[in-house]
Amino acid sequence: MKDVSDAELVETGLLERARRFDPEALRALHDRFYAPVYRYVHFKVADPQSSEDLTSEVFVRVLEALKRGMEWRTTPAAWIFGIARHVVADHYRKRMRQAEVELDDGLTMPGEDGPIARVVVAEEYEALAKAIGSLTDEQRDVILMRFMEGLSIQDVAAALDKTPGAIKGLQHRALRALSHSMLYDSSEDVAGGGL
Amino acid sequence: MSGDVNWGIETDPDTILALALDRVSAGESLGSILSSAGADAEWLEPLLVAAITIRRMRGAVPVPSGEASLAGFLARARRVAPKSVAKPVLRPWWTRLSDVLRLPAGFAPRLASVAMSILLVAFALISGLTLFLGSPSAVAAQNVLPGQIVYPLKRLGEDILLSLPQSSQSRSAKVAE
Repeated sequence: MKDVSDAELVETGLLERARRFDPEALRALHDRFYAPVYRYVHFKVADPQSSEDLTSEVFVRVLEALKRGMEWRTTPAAWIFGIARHVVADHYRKRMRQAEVELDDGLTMPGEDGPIARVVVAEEYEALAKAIGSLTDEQRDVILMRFMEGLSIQDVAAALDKTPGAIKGLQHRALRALSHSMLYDSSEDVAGGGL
Repeated sequence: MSGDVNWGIETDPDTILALALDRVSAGESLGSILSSAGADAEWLEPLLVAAITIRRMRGAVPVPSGEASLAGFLARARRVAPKSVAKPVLRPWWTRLSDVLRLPAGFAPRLASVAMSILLVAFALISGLTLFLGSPSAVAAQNVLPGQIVYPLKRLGEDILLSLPQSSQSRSAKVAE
């Protein structure tokens, strides 16, 4: 029997109430998923304004799906991330003829307290953003959902319409590519700094 | 790669990595996982470090307040929410009757109380009669003779029975008795 976490129970209850358009449940649902969805979209499209617009679009689609009586097959998180993935895909389809924005161009630096901490975190963040940008689309999905947002392998599989076995393979290849990219990037910096 | 006791009989690298990541999620330190990973530690280490780095950078992503998104979301919800069908209010019969009869305002409650009083009196009469006719004293009164104390009671019972609506055959039988 599948273990159901407390968070999953709360999220399922929220979605059930949101289906009846209970304003409090809709507000709680938005509060719970806004930041995770934004982060996912942010790493997929880079531009902060587009990230905000697309995140709002995800919630509009959630609303429309609830109105149509659509069911979530696994967990609410997997269902909402699946919708977010489709929203991003639609966004790229619309912009197919336009030049793609480099991922690291649009990423805003995080605001940490203290100049040294800010520089360290900003450098690490920049390196990570660049490394994530070098992944394939599917690998990036797995990395963001699985490690940035902590979804289970089953949930990621449901969101991406794949089997859990395929997700295990994807996460292995994605982490290998990511670690290679981060290592390569930092060794380039060392070599550049020495000159 | 693998063959270490820590992963049991598992030899598939994808599964070994998934098991190691589960231990990271459970809060086990990287050093502890790697020290027990045997020959797998070498290839696992950079992958686990990458996974931990991503998780650590989660809080560094600048997320906007989301107020505008929430306002738009709730406004949209109000627009698309199915309109609730107003249920007809069921008015009591006396107010409807009062409307039909065009009685003055405030008369309806009095109409209701009068009707209830009539109903209660009728119910009490019927109940009393049923109890009296079916009671043991009434049965006993069938064998009394004129001059006895309960004889008027017997006559009263007979009169009431004869006055009730019934078939002519049973009425003749009652008269014959």
